[in-house]
Amino acid sequence: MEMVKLLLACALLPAAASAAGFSLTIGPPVAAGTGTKVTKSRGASFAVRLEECEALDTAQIGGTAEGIVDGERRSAALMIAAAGSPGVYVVSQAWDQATQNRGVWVVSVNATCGKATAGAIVPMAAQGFVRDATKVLPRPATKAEVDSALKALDAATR
Amino acid sequence: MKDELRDLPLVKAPDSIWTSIEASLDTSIKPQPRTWRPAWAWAIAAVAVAVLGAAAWYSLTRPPKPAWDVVRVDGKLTEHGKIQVGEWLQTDSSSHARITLNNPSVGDIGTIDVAPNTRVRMVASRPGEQRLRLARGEISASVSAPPRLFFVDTPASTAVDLGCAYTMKADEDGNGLLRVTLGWVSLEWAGREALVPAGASCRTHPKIGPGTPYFDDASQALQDALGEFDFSSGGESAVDTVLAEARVRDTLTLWHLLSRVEPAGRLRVYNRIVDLVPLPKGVSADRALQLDPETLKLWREELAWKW
Repeated sequence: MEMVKLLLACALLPAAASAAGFSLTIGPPVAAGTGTKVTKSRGASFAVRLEECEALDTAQIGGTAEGIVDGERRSAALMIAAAGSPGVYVVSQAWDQATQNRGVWVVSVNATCGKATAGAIVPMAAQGFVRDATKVLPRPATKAEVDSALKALDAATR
Repeated sequence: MKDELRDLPLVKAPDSIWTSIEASLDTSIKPQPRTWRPAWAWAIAAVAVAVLGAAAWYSLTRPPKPAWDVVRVDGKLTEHGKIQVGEWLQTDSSSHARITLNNPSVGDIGTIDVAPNTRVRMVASRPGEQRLRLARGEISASVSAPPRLFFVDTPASTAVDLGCAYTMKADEDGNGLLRVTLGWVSLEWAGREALVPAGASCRTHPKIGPGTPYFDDASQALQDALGEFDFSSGGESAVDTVLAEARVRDTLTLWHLLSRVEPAGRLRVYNRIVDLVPLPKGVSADRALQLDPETLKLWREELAWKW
């Protein structure tokens, strides 16, 4: 039995090693490619890069926009598009600007690389994402963390 | 019946009858005068018909001359019109205008708001190039198009749209200021280039071109020192101020400075960038200091994550 466990551990080791230190880096849209490879950046909110992921072909990324508009909790879909560089994505808002201006919004991004996970909560402002308040996590953000970030953003904008 | 006819008396016909009969006979046998039309007349007529036909065909089938829609507002008056290639649009102190960048081949790619006291000219509208000239005044562009499709020429630079929104000013002396609010713009002029992302600005000067870009939230001391360095031969003291005032985000400014300072000062700029953001993997210090284009590009793309 011990031998079986050892074999299993050895078998899983490459997958674990390939995702060791897996994390997300958040940056401005310009970071997705300052050359001409990015075909369209208008409406882009920010860029995401998957770090320390050797299995980029199987990596996955997703997310939602979470907001408070007129006192009500809202969720909205995002547009996430691959940029010119491998593992780099451009996140764009899919909700209308008027709604953005009326309320406060954060974007919750999560990604997987093999069995490893990573996440980030990115507060949004009229000028773009709020770098100083962005939180990078070693897992997808919980609902409580998103709510907390929204409350903090709401308080900061009042 | 035959006998009755035979018994009728013979009466001589009047002379007038014979006269009229002879006149009729003369008319019917007189030859018509021959009308002669020379060959060249027929040729001219044929050419004329062909030319008229071709002109009509061309006018019916030619593509419309490129034009952008313009709405001009002067007080309470709103006027709708168009601006065509080669035409100028000028606003006075009480009027402003909005140009819609539309073209049958590229569709609607954005708008240009033309502020009062501004003079612009439509330079080109082709599938791969939409170009405006800002002679003086201020415009606000909001463009949703593939990169390097929309250009704004000013007396000291060309703003190359990379998918963005920005304002561009030019004064009577040709000095300009670009301020980007969304996406990024490349300012190019005589081989000199400045990349200006959202939240950043860049001044331009005739005969010099684009200055060094800076973030709008950079310290005033940094912005003033850059003005000295770019356009007033500020030299080392201006660079000292910029280095001392730079934050992590200001590596945008420092990266541009690296290739603009004198060779003797390059190492100081390099060291300050590395102090603020460690040199990323794949970027060689030696090559960066030699201003190797590929190395600088790679470095810039890494630094951009901090902008």
